[in-house]
Amino acid sequence: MGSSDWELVQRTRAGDRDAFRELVERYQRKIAALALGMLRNREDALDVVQETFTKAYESLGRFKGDAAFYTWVYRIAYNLCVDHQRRSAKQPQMSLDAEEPGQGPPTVLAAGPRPDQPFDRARDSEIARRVREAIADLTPDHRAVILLRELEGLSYAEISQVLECPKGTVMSRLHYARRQLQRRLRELL
Amino acid sequence: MSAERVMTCAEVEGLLDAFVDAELPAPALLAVARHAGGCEACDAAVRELTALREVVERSVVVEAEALDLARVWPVVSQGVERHDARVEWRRRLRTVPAWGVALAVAASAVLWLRSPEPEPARLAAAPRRNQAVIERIDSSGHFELRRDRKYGTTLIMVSDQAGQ
Repeated sequence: MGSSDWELVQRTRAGDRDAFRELVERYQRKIAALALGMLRNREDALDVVQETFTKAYESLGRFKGDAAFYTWVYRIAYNLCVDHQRRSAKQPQMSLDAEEPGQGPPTVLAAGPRPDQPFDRARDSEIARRVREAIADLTPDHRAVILLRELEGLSYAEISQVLECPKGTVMSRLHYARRQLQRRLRELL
Repeated sequence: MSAERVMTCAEVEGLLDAFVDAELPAPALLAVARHAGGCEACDAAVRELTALREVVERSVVVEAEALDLARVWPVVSQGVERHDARVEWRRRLRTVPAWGVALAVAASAVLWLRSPEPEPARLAAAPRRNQAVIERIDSSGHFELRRDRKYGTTLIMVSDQAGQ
C-alpha cells in the first residue's frame, strides 16, 4: 500500500524529493484534466500543471493539513487557470476542437463500450466535440464547478474549499451549469 | 424533511442535482428515490441528469488522458532545485557569524586605506594678473573695449580702415 498524501508531504518537507515526485505523479493527470477543461489548450494546460506543482512545492511550508492535499493543489491550479485566462483574455486562443483533424487527441469516449464501427467512432467523436464546446461556453466559475464535480468527483464541500466559496454557491452554480449543458446537449442525452 | 411524507415534483426538482451526486442525507435520498420510482417525469429527469454526467466525464477525461505528461516532472524538478538553492542561500546569509562580517569590514577598510590617493583636481587656469580682458568688440572690428585688471582702467582701442 502506498504512502498517504500527508506522509508524502511530511517526507517532502524533510527534504525527500522522491516523495514530492510521487505526489506529482499521483495528481498530475487530474490537474491536467482540470486545466485542459478550463483553458481548452494543451500547451497552456501543461504549463499550468508544471506551475501548479512548482508553486505547491514552494508553498508546502504553509500547507497546514487541515484540508486534503489534493483540494489544496486543485485550488492552486484553479487560481493559476483564472490568472491565465485573465492574461490571455485579449489574445484569441485556438480551440482544441479547431485543430487539424488527426492532430488532436483520440476523441473516442473511453468509459462506454468501445465502438467497433467507424460510424460509431465518428459519432462519439462528434458527441465529445459538442460536449467540450458546450463546457467551453460556460463562464469560468460554472466550468470549474462542472469539471471539479464530474471529472474529479469532488464533493460539494471539497469544491467549496477549492473555489473558496460557500457550499450553497457551489450547488447553485452546478445547477445552473447543468441546465445550460442540458439545453445545449438535449438531443445527445 | 420527513422521509415518510411523499414529495411533490417541485420539491424533487430542487433536489435532483444533490440526489444524483449522492449529496443528500439518507432520509431525503430515500424520499426522492421513492418519488422518482413512481413518477415518470421525475424518473426521466434523473436519467437525463445521470446521462449528462457520464457524457461530460467521458468527453473530458479521454482528452486529458491523451496529454503527454512526461515532461512535467523534469520541469517541476528544475523549479524545485531553484527553490531549494534560493532557500539555502538565504539560510547561509542568515547564519553568517559576526566575526565574518567584522572580517569583511576590516578587509574593506584596508583596501580603502591602501588605495592610491586621487589626483588633485586641476585648477582652472586663472587669468594672468596683467592681462587685459576684451569686453566688447564692434561688428566691424574698428574698435574694442579692453579692461586692464591691474589698474582697473578701460582702454578703447580704435583701428583705422586698414585695420592698423
